[in-house]
Amino acid sequence: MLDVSALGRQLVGPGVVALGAGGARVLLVGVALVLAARVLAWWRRTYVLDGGVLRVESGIVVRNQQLIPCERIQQVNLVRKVRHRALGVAVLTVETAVGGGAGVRLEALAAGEAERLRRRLLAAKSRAAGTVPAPAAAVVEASEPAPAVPAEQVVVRLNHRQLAVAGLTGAQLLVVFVFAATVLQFVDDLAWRPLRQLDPSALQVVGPAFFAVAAAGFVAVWLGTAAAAAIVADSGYTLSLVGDELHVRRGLLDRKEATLPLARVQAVRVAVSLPRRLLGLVSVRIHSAGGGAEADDSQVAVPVLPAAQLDRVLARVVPGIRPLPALRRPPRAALRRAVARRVAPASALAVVPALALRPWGALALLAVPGAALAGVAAYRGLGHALDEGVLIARSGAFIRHTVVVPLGRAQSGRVRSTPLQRRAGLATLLVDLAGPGRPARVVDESAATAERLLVSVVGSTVR
Amino acid sequence: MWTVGWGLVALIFLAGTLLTEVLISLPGPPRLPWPVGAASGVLAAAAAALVWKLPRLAFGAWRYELTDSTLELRRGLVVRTHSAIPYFRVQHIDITRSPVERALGLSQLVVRTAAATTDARIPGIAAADAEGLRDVVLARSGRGDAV
Repeated sequence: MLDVSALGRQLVGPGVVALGAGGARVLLVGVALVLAARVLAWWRRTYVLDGGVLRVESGIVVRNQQLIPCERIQQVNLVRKVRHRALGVAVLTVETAVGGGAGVRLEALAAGEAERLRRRLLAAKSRAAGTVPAPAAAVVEASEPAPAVPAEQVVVRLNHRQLAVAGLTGAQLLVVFVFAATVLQFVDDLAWRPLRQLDPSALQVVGPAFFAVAAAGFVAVWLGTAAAAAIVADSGYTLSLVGDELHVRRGLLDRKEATLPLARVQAVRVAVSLPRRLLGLVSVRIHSAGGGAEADDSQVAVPVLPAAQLDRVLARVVPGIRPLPALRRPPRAALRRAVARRVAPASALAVVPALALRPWGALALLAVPGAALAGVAAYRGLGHALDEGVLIARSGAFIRHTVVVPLGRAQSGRVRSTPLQRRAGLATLLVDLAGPGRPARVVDESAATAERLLVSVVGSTVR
Repeated sequence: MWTVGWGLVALIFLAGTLLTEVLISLPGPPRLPWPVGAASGVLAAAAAALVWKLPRLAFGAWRYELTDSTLELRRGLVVRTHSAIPYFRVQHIDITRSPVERALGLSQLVVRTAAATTDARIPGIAAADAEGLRDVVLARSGRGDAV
């Protein structure tokens, strides 16, 4: 069960040093040292689950003991990257509500043992929370077999076609730019120079047709890569309910599993970009108070979902929630604020080139009506509703974000108003949520409504 | 309901910090033509008036209140904020004292919840009262899992 998996990365450092020093012997010593350190670290890291407390001891010289009461567990993640799968091991992370990525990370557990430990942790958690009666023997022995697994109910399953659409309409499009930039840099360093020395007239021979084909090819590769990236990341995506826990399984090469007890759901965020709105798709992210260190690994999210299924999924994730009601628009004054808020800086920025670079600089003034349109779109995106113990808040011009906050989950709330908002009788409500992420916002609602919402959000938190 | 304000202490504290800041940012003795000198003199006077007036206004806008179930803070002249923190969400409370605050015998109370974005600090509390206030809030926060 030796963690050779992360070894490669750690060997890079000494490897570079050794190459710099120019000696195979130095390299060998470096490898031996790192290897010894890894083995020792692994050897000295022990964990035991005892009486509802996970105790992890680690450290070669300075011993460090971590105690995590199981009832404090927010989320348990299981990651098996390609190198882990090759060696039959897994990384288990246990997240608590402590910020800054604290929590426990157990590397290089045998895959079966990781699975068993996860079941036992979550079972111990439900027992501690009182949702499941304790077994006759109160003390959970470290060797106790994993408890029986309740039946799994699939909530969402995505096929490759849906994932490809997610990739084509999602953030993967931008990832390609990052990737392309890296490749270009590389190509620039290696092969571009001889190419630059070519006679420019050679390009004229190729003609515009070549560039059209090249551009089309680039776009095809770009879209293909985006779709493929989404499929590789989320292949076999399954969101399911096992007892009162949410399970997410995904990944073609790197298998990632996240487990989030329903009672730990802090908020659900629904994002709809413009292209997805046209296709009737949404993406959903489920927040617990844990996470933060490796945001991507611990995310419990649905990359893409037909909008028609949203209510069904929400009903499973937030028990007791009703289908999302129609949202209340803020007053007309908010429209003026939304437009002014965008037009003012746009005008200020556009005036400079318009005056300095006549006559073509005047084109910059086109940004002003553009900003006005964005303002109208932003206003149309605003809305909120308070319904059956949940606050629903929506905002965003091009990507609409809807936050669903169970009222019992709000940590604190604020009503904030700028002088311009006050003149229009408006204010913004912010609701602070446990865990990473920004507060939920009800933007530009009338001041009286914002104050009333604040009272219901923090006043009605059930103990 | 228990509304409290510490008039004089916070006033001195805010005035003191603002004054130092303005003094630092003011231009040195003018070695420029007289209109510039006069202008900077007017500016300095205006700044002095502001230094005198602003902290009073800022302090006047600062209120905190312990209601039955929440700690409520109202503050801000330009951007006005009204925060409400339910007691049972309170995770822990820090008391911080900067050198200026120490010199003036003041403390700042920082209330934290499980949300990193909760913004609840009460500046300018007489040092002797800070611990009492903390204990009151903690006593009301009770026990239990606040997440």
